[in-house]
Amino acid sequence: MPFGPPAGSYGVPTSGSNPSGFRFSEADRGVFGGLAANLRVVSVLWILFGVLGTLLTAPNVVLQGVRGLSGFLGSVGALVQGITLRAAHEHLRRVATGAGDDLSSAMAGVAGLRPYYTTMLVVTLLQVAATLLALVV
Amino acid sequence: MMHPPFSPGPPAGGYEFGEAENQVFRELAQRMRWTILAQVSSLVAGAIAVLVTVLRMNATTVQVGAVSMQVDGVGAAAVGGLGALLISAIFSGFVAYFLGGSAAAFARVANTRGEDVPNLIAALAAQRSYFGVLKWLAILGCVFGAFACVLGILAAAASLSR
Repeated sequence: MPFGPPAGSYGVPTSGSNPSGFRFSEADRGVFGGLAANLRVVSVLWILFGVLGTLLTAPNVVLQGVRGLSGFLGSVGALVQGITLRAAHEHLRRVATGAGDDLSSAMAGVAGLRPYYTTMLVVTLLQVAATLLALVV
Repeated sequence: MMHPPFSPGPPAGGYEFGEAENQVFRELAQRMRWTILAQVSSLVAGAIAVLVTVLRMNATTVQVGAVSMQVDGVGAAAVGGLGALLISAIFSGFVAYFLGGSAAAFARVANTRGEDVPNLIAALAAQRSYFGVLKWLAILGCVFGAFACVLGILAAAASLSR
């Protein structure tokens, strides 16, 4: 069990839906709820921008080659980021609503943010490479 | 055998995450910091691109990251390039400000004892602010995009009616 509470930890008794027995306070749930709500909107818009952007910028890659690559990479990145945020949002929302195990859901939500930042990092570095490459070709 | 009449228990926030969870927090903090560095490198690459474009003088497009501007002439190239650079700099500053604070709080969850939950909540609150600003920027982008589409359609309709 990865998230077992230490002896004497505060929290409610263990139940079927909350095996770790840990409960965040109402104020903490508000933070999870606010973050989940923002992630929901951002993920939907990112997927929308990603799909539209990919369709619009793909011809640029064909027509302009490396010069059109940066925008295309950004669009594909937005699409992937939107999809990863959808998954993180679902876990964080469970903490906010108190459904399921608080600690497991919180950890899954935090872990779900990793692919978002990994994608952001990789796409930014590829865009830097594309920008510099466009200067020499 | 005597027992204390009252055991106060740990203070609020006294929960300690295990090593496996701390590894997740460390990795996330590390990726956020690398993302900030990548944003800075993107800004530097953009500045180089603007400089080279202006020096070449005959360029018609200035590109800084995903921001691309059509320009005409050296002066316009300089102005367009600096404008694109400014937008990128503002975005990079915004990313660095929110992600820096969040990454530090996530790192504190992993590297300190006794305050894991408050640090986690602080990190998530910074994430909430980051995605909150991102949300409004995206909504603003949608409004401007829709406005541009309407203007484009109106312009096309006007040119067809002539």
